[in-house]
Amino acid sequence: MNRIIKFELKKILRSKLTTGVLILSFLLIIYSFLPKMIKYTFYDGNGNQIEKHKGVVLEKKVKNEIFNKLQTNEEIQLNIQRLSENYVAEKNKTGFQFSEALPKDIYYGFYMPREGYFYWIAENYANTFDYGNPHDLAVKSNELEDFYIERQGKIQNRLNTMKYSRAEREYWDKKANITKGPYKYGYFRGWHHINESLDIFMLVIVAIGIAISGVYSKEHETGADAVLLSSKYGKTKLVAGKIIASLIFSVTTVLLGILLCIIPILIFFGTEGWDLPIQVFSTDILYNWNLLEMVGIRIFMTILSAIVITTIALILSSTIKKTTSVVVIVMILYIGGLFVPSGKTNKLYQMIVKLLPVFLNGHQYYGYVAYPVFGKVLTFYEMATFVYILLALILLPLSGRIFKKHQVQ
Amino acid sequence: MELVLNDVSKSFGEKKAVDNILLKIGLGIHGLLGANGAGKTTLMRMICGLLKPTNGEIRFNGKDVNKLGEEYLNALGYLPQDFGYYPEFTAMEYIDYIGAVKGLSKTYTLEQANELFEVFQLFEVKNKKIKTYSGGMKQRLGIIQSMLNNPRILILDEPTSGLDPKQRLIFKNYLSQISKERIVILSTHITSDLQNIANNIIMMKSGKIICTGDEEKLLKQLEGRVWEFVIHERELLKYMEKSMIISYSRKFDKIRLRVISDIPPAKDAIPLEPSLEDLYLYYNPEEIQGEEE
Repeated sequence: MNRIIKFELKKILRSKLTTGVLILSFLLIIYSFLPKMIKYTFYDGNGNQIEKHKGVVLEKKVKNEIFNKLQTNEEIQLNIQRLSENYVAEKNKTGFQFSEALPKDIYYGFYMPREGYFYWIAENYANTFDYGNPHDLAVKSNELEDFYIERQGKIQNRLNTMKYSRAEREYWDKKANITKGPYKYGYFRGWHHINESLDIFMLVIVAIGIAISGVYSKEHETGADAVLLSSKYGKTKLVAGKIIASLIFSVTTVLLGILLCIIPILIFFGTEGWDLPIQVFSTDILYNWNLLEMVGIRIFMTILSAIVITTIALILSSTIKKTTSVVVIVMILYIGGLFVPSGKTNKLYQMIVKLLPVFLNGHQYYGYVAYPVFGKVLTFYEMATFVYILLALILLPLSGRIFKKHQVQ
Repeated sequence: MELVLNDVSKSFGEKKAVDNILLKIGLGIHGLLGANGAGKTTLMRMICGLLKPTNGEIRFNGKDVNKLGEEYLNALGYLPQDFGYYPEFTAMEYIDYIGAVKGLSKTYTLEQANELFEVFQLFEVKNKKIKTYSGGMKQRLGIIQSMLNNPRILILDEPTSGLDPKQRLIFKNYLSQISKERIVILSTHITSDLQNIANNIIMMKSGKIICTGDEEKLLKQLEGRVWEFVIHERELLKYMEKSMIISYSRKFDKIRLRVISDIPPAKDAIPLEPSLEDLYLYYNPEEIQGEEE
């Protein structure tokens, strides 16, 4: 069996198409973070640009000093107050000219190390789905509500727009309460970049789908099926070997890609911030994870996406005899999901659309879609795992069954 | 050891590709002779379990081959007409892979493969990628894979296509050597592939067996009916209407005819020993072609 798996893997890897798409997707992964390292700069308190690793070291030091406390409402309001005191609103004409609106020492010594932090606060006070701007904080500092009360209120407003059942509403309310704060804030640049780079894995998933497309259909195309299916293990171990090799290939490809992105990012930007709550990305998020857990879950979902695309490619490959047709259909089924309207008002439609394979490894933790099943409410992550593992368990053996029942004509 | 086909038929839509075949196949070489479209390949695919018969059953040593499953496939070696390979694999890798699918140990596969690579003169190039092979070399690789598991039933569909005369001879000799303890079914439309080596010849046409038996028995039906004589080219039409021309060759304005006729077709006609080619063309006159000398 191991020999069969080894050769099936060789067959996948030796295809020029596979090599091409894998190299391309790995280059895109590298491109997703490398410029951020090369162009990285941090300003010291005097406005001097400190580049690359020295800059990272300084940023960590500065942020450790300024974010050494839990971000209670009082702490947040103090920071907003200090921004506001030194801010000349009229000088910020575009909304982004903080260097004009603040004295140089305040801009570099106070505002710049806290820039992301102020955007984060501003988003919390902004209308739902708006990003917010520190400018608004500076000009309305006296009118601002308690940061965490504002957060809870905003979430309630969002939840009120959804047509939830009682169980679902209770579920989300509970989640909102668990994550109500106060939060820790700090330096988390490495985890932020990893999170961004994981988006590129959509292309790796497509590459995997393309590579797997020929697993069965190539045998029909080349006429190798006649020899294989008339061999002792052609209808048993070979089929199992093909499925296992395809899964090994797809999971290994994802893991290699992940190592390719995570290791350099963490080496360059450091592992600091792993224990910060996911709410440092946005206070709208209702999942009670830290950043390490968030990355772990996204990696799991990326692996699940790879298994899903492998399942789709294998079932199509066993049914359709032309590899090119399989490739086209796999791509349409996967990428086509991006063009499906989100249908903001129809809950059931939204629930289905969210489960499309292309969205599996996305930023679903921002969403408020859950799945009531037999009196229990499942998160998107639980539901997607359940649906797709079940689908894989049904379709993968079925693909083998179709292949071995194939009539060689 | 016996392979029995009981009223085996295969239809593709309205078309009956194989029509009620009843056959008992024992040890030795069985030549399946027929023109393209006669149903040879369909019949072989059914024997290999690659096509399900529309009717009838195939039994190996008294047992239904479908029920035997792996046990039957383990006894089988098959060379399809269009044998599929992996261009990026070396011949040795390909054979190793096929060995794994056939359930052979790596050691056995390598031993057997090396022996067969020697026999079929591919040993020196066994580590080269198959994409660099010529058509004949690929065909020999196909033959090697079919024999890899030392099969008790060896099914070869047009095995000599693409082989040069020397390789054909090597193949025939080797097949003759190994055929005593196994069932070999060899399909071809080249009668010389079977001459002197086939223990039994099965002639197929339009999905049916039209005659079967050993070479001697089959040729008896043409005994005293094969003639050769020379005519002037303007007489050709006359003889085409009168006799069944098996072959003809032209030299200037003279034509040498080989015909099948119950009576001497011309005064100077010389009776000849019938050959398998005569028999094949007798049943497949549409295959007759003339040549320039």
